[in-house]
Amino acid sequence: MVPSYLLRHHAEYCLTGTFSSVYKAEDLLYDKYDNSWDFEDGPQQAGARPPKYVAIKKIYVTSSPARIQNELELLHDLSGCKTVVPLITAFRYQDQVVAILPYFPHVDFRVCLSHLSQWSITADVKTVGIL
Amino acid sequence: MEEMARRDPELASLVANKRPYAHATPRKPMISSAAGTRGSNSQPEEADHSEEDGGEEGEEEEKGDRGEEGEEEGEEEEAEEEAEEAEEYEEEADNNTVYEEMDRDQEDQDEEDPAETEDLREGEIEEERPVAKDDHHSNNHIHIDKLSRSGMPQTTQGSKAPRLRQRPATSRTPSYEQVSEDDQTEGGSTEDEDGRSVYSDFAEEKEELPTDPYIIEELEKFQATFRGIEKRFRLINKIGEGT
Repeated sequence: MVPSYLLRHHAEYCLTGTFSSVYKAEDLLYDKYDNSWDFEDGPQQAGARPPKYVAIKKIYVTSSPARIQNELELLHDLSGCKTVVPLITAFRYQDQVVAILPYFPHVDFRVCLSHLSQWSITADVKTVGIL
Repeated sequence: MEEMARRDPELASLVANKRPYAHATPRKPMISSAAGTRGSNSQPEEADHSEEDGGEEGEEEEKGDRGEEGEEEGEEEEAEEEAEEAEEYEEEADNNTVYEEMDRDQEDQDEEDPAETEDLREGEIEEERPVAKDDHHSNNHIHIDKLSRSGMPQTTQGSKAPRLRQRPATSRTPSYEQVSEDDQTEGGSTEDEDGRSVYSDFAEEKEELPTDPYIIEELEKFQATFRGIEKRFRLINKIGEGT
């Protein structure tokens, strides 16, 4: 459950984010860090560990620093909520900022859209402003 | 009197028979006449009757003493008119059942846009106004009704309008409650028609290396510009754009 005070304070930011490019990448240093965010991380079986993928969100450099900071803080505060993607970590190099997020397998949105009902499209997608 | 009979034979017959107007001319609403039950010679019949009445009146004037015979003839005419009325109502009822069946079939077949329905309704109402008196085919009404439903231009201005019932405009989009119910039953689930989960293919997903040269170039550029990223992560592919 999301704490109510967080919802109150961050409600106005929930529908905003930063423009970015998202890449799929393999986490090469997975075993060297705390992976409590990974709910699929179980006891290791014998043999080679399957590769762990993450999503790298590379925020466009044209985004304002305040907006970037707001998004990262929001994700950090909401880490632990089951309905919010947790923020693993973030890096900055010069003017470039990347956020590391868990990778969730997905399908093309156009394929997903065909499976949605009209009600879901109206209530969930259109209100977000994707369409 | 003769002048009156020439101008308005009905009125002349009324005056001659001294009957109340409403009783002497059993008029029915236009809708019932539109059912096509009167036939093509309905009005001329009335005219003939009135002419006959006029003739009778003349005879009455000439003979004078034959008032009892005139009354008997008047009673016979009334009986005939009542019989005609009964026949007309029966035929009308039959035609109405035909229209109702057609309406039911049509409503089952098509969903109508409310605006389109309003336009059609206006057209039908306009069609209802010019009522001609020379219609003698009840099937014409069915034809007109079909045309009006299909939105085709109607050129049968001279024919009588059919008995049109007001149909409520039905919205194409379901109501909020209907949508929510449908969403709970069908759209809300993550299973497709075959009962297979939409997300069942996720587990089988493998590394898909980029084939687009622009994406490959973008990945290389990202690794080159962001120092140290290549030691932590191995870029595989571009997922998409974030907002």
